[in-house]
Amino acid sequence: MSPSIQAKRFMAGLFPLAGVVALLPLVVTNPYYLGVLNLTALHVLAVTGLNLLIGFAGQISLGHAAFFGLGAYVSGILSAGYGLPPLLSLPIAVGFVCLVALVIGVPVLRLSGNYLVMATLGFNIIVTVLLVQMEDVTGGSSGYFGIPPLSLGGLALDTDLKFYWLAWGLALLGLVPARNLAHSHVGRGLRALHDSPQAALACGVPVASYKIRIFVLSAGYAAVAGALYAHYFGIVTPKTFDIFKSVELVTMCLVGGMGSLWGGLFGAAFLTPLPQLLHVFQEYQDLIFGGVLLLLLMFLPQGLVGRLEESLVRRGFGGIRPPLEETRGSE
Amino acid sequence: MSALLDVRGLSISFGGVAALDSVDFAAEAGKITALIGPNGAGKTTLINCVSGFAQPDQGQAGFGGCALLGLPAHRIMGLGLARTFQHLRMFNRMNVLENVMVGLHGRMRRGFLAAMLRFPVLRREERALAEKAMAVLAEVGLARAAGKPAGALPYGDQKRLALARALVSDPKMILLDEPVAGLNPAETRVMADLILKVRDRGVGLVLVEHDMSLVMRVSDTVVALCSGRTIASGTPAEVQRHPEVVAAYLGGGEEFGLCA
Amino acid sequence: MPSGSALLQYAISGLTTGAVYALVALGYNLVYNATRVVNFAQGDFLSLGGLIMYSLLAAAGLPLVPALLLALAGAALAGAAVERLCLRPAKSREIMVLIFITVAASILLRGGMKHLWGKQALALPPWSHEVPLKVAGAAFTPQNLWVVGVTLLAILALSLFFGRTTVGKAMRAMAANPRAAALMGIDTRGLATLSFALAGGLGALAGVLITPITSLSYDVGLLMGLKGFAAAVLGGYGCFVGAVAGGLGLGLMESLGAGLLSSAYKDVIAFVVLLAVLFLRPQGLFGSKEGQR
Repeated sequence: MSPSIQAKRFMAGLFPLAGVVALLPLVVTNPYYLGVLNLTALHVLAVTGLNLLIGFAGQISLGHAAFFGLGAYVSGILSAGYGLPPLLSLPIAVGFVCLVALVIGVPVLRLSGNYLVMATLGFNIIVTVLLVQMEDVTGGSSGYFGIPPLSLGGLALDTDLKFYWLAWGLALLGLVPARNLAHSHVGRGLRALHDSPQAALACGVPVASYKIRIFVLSAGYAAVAGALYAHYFGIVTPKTFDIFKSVELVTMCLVGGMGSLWGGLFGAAFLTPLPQLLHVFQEYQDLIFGGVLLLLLMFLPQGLVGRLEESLVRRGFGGIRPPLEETRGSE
Repeated sequence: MSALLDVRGLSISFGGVAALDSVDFAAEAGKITALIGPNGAGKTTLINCVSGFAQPDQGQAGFGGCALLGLPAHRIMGLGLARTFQHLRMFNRMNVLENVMVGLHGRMRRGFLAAMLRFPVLRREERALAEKAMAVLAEVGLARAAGKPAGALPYGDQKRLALARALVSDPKMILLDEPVAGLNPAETRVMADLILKVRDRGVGLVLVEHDMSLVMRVSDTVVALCSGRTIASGTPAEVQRHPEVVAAYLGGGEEFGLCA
Repeated sequence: MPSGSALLQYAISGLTTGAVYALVALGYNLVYNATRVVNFAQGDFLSLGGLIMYSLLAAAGLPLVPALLLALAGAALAGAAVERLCLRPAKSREIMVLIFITVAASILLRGGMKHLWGKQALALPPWSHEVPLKVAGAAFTPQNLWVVGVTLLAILALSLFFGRTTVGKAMRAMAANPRAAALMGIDTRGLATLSFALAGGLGALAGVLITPITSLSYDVGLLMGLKGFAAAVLGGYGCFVGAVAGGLGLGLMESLGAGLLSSAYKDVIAFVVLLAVLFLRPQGLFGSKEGQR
């Protein structure tokens, strides 16, 4: 299958999904549930970026909540504290986070395995402590509030429903460049350096620079999600962006299917509402959540969507199909 | 006369032990230069130094007039010097075709942004890439396996895939690290024919190999290393008779039939 | 300039928490060497040990030593269960998946402990009297001595185990080369379970030692577990001398950082130093190059 046919197949999946997203608000009108859906969309965005990093390039980050949080705080503080319009503070925040990711990424991505896990985790812990301690700027542990909603040309996105359109629009839109990247020569280079960095180098893949770029890109995705979060909820607290959020984001990648962008989407869509749904079980909530997660990882390690894609690959639908095969039928 | 690959006075030591001690080595375009020697002689280390995977302490290495040392490995590949690995290092998450397409990575001039925005020019390049990769797969006899996951291929096929991955970028020279290790006699013959075919296209080859009958059959020049030093170089027949080579192999208790 | 007695005071508290980090780090290393998995449930063994000890002392009225032994055994059992019930039956052998299985196990363990012991903080009594001792102007409690002393004993016992016993030597062989060890007829699966049990016991030991000083609740092990992980990385993952050095180093760094610079930023100081060390030595202080993976 040629790359352009692959692209069409992806789009064929995207449109029905967009349809479901468009129809959902007809069914879900309760603002609480809309709020959960909105949070899901933000998670989809962050997980899309993270999935490029983990699933494709094979670099584990347990620090992405820090980028999520920095995006939220910077955009929040710039708009509420310095009167910048959110439409301006958001890109500034994203740019700032990308810069931070670059500065952190250059030394950190030299590490591998557990050392990389620890370094990203450590970075997240440092950011969380700073958010708590720099009270004058961040409002400390009680959080920073009064963040104005986004407004697009006079239209303030101040209701759950209005934000829903923006968040899900961006979440679905965000899949497109990620998908393009994944199926390009760059995506192949990233997967190559995952399997064997040495062989990738020998093939001319600039391994170190690719790792850094994909790290910065995934941090950018997280920052967009974070900034949107700030302008939607109006308040940000350090606890929302601690290492457990990082673990949660990676879990979404895994449960959906590592290295599958659809997987990330479904992982986020499954795990974000789950704790809310389990709320009725009250004190058994953690036990059930942990149990579900455990069973999924034990018995469905390819992830919800990964499992499906794997069976497609086995039937010859995965990857780039050799061009000759298309003509073989007519031979 | 200046050889395509020209190495002078290369020295490198690991933890105080000299792996290469002032080694001179040259390999010409369109010729097969074999690098032999007992285990631990420094053959792979030499390849690693030349291809940017190890940084030598001293010495020079030039490739077609360009200084190699200090260049990152992915740039060296761009100069037209490709390599394979003793351990296959396939990209197991990809199919055979995609593995070969990665071999063309150095050709792609566009980066992340172009890829994310899916520039039309990229789509054309991608098609050309796939066609080129298919042609090379056909050359090594793997066209039919193109859609299979690389890890699922038999070992012998993976060895040829590794060669295809190096060959696809039209390099001026390929460094082959033990291309027939682990292959049965029939597979070895196929690989030998391939190697000769590649040479006949004008590609220079550096062959690190323990299979002496292969080395003697295909090589134009043989260089023998022992304990990080060059002990002999010349035609296969000359090196085979060289007393130091005979001593190195017999003394090292190696299994090669050099005295035959 | 801080006085000598103040410095001594910081050193004492740093060594105390450092000893606990070292125990936790040793647990990480045991599991890693046998299975290549980072066990994120390691910190929960610490909480579990403390909680079992609390119940046995307070509710069942057991004397110290039997309560201690039972607490260790209970956490060891939990450790073995994580390996036998969660990791071994798992379909994937991919390290990333296995690591997150331990994350799920940790959530489950924490949920279980919250359910059984509740959310409130509990108080585990110190092992002996609470009268502070004074040396050169620095005050410390007998519990500080217990922590450091018992940790030293545990390290001694472990080194004897690895140096002298057949099982210990088999574990070392497995750490060096799992495939070769399996070919030599070493029961690698049994050793994997054993390593988790030992890690559970070490975690619980850390818990019963430190919780009389800090406090005890179902999630006390979370932060301690992370710090133990950091200590293991600092020393060089999988390396035993490194775990002890990394633990003590991290503990001292924290306590000196808190005392001399700022207590609010003590975690920042500790982790910044950790990152700096990794930038200079990507394999940790005592790790070998191959240990990077």
